[in-house]
Amino acid sequence: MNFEEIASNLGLDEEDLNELLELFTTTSFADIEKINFGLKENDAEKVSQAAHSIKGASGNLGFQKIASLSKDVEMTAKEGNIKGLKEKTNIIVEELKKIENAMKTD
Amino acid sequence: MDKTQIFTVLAVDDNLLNLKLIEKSLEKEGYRVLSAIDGPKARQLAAEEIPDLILLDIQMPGENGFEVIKHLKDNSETSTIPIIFLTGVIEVDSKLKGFKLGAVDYITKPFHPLEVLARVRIHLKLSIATNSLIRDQAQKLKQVTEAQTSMLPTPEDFPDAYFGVYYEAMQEAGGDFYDILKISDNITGYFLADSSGHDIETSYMTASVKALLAQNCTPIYSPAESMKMINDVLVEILPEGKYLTACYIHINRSTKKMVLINAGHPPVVHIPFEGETYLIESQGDILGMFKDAQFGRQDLDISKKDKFIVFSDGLVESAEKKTTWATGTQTLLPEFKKMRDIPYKEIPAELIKQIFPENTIMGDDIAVLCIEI
Repeated sequence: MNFEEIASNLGLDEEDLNELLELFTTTSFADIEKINFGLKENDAEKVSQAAHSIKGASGNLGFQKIASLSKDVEMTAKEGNIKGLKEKTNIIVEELKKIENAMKTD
Repeated sequence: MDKTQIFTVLAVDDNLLNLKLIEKSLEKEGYRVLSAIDGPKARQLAAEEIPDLILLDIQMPGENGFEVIKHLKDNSETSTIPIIFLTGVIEVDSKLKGFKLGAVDYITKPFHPLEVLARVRIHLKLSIATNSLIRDQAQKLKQVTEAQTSMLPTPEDFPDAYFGVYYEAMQEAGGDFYDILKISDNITGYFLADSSGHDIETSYMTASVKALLAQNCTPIYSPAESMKMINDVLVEILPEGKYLTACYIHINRSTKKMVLINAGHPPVVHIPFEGETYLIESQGDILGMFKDAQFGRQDLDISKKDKFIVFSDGLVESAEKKTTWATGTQTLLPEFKKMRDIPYKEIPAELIKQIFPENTIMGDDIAVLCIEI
């Protein structure tokens, strides 16, 4: 993962980016928890709201895969259909972990 | 523009990451950034800090961005702050609604920080330009006020006309206007008009009327002829819906004759040196509206030391009490009667003092002339 490129793409320096990424992963993992809770409790509204939050943040930072997956989750949940979203949520988690690991080694 | 001026931007987004991203990007470029995570907090900060620009997310839990815009626009202190809102790409309705509520621009999400910067920059520039334009226009209006005031003669300019005056314009370009015309050694014309509107257009009208008076109020025309000619020209040149109510008094101090032409104007007060104070009522068409206008006309024999008070409807009308000059003038007759022993130069100001208690907010332009024979 090339953080330097992401930073320059956003017009920020790496220090700022690190701060943002930390905030991003923290809030996104919190949102993932909300999604999982919503899936368990059959609360589609909660799932959709939390996915919306991940979508917004990842989209702005340029994490396209996470943005597109969370958009799918948000839209599907909005239709009230939350079955089968667990798998997609897990992929998001994997992607978030990739970012987290890259930050540690960076 | 002051180079050291720091611009303040208020960023509103329920998404903490987005808020931080905006904050970082803008601060890097030297902006001061205030952040709010919801509508109520945003409104509070906007009212307290009056930022130069607001970046506002539409989709927020609780009070959404549209409601925030509405509140900000309803509050006179925050209503002129430019608002750029953040919205999803496909939400056309949302974009239309944002503009309709008074936002200046939108940024689609996901947004790129550099796009945010570019849009903030351009709207700050626009806002600065607009504000300086408003300042320029205010400056021009001030010049109009000065020009207009210089068109109004003072008693010192015409010592032989024996008049006193009170003049107060509510706006930069007042709708009231008066002029004194020296027609010959013994004949003086007094003209007082009130035009519909108090704007810049009116001030141009004032200049035209003054020019028309100078051309047409001469010894070769009777007062009725003068007014008819002025009317015919005004009908041609005035914009639709514009007109004047006016009163023209033509006084010959050697023959002791007075002619009063009334064009839809409030009555004139006559305070005879010997006799009861009364109102000279005369109906007539307004000036500048109809080609074949019929004005009210009164011919009077006058005596030395008689006084006349001519005024615009601002003196007698009250929007608050819903009085028009037709009823207002009658109720003021006792006030006019009290003026009998006051020197004519002091009567206009004295009347204002009597009619408007201190600290009254006047609702209209006011012009009062008092003439002594």
